Amino acid sequence: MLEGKAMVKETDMSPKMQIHAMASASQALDLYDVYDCISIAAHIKKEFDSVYGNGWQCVVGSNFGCYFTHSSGTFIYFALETLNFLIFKGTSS
Amino acid sequence: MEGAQEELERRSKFLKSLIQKKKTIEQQEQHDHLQHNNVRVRACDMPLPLQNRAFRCARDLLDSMPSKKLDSKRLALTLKKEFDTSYGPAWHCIVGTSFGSYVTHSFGGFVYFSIDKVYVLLFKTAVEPLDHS
Repeated sequence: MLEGKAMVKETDMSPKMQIHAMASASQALDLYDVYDCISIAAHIKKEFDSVYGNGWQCVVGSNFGCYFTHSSGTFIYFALETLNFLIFKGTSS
Repeated sequence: MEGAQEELERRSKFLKSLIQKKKTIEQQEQHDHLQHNNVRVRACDMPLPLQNRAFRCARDLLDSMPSKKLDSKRLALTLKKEFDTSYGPAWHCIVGTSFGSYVTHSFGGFVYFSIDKVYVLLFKTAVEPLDHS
C-alpha cells in the first residue's frame, strides 16, 4: 500500500463506497506502473462492475477534462499521488 | 461550316478548362481540409456521419479559442451537449493530453481520436427509465 493519501475533490458517493474507490485505486497502483493508466482504470472499473453491477466507467490520468452523465450516488473524482481518478456509473446495464 | 466547327472547338476547350479548374480546386480543398483538421482516429465504433460531426465540432471550437490554450473542460462539455442534443442521452466526453480509461459503451457509440495535440474520448451509454417506485 502506497504511503500517499488520496484527496477527494468531488463526489456524491456514500463514504463506504468512496473508501472502496480509493482502496481500489491504491491497489491498482501497487499492481501497475504509474504510466499504465489504462490498466489502472481497467482494474478499478472491473472491481466496481463485479461488486456494484455493470456500467461503471473509469478515467485515470494527469491531464484531462470531461463532461458526463452519471447515476445518482455513483460519482467520485479524487487525486492520489500524481494521478487523478474519475469513477462513475453511466446508467448502462 | 468552318465557323461552326471553330465555335465548337472553342466551347469544348472552355468546358475542359472549367472541368480541370474545378478538379484542381476540389483537390486543394480536400488537402486543406485534411491538413487543417489534423484529425487521427485511434479507435472507433461509430457511424461515419457522427464521427465527422465530432471532428467538425472539435475543430470549430479549437479554432475559436483565442488564447490557443487548451480548455479541456469546455471542449468536453461542447461535444457532450451537442451529441446529447442530436443523438439522445447519455453521452460522455473526456478530453486531455494524458489519460487512460476503461469504459463500457453502447453499440455504435464510441470514438477515440486525436486532434492537434489533444486526445478526445466520446462514448455513449444506454439510459434506463427513471424508477418511479
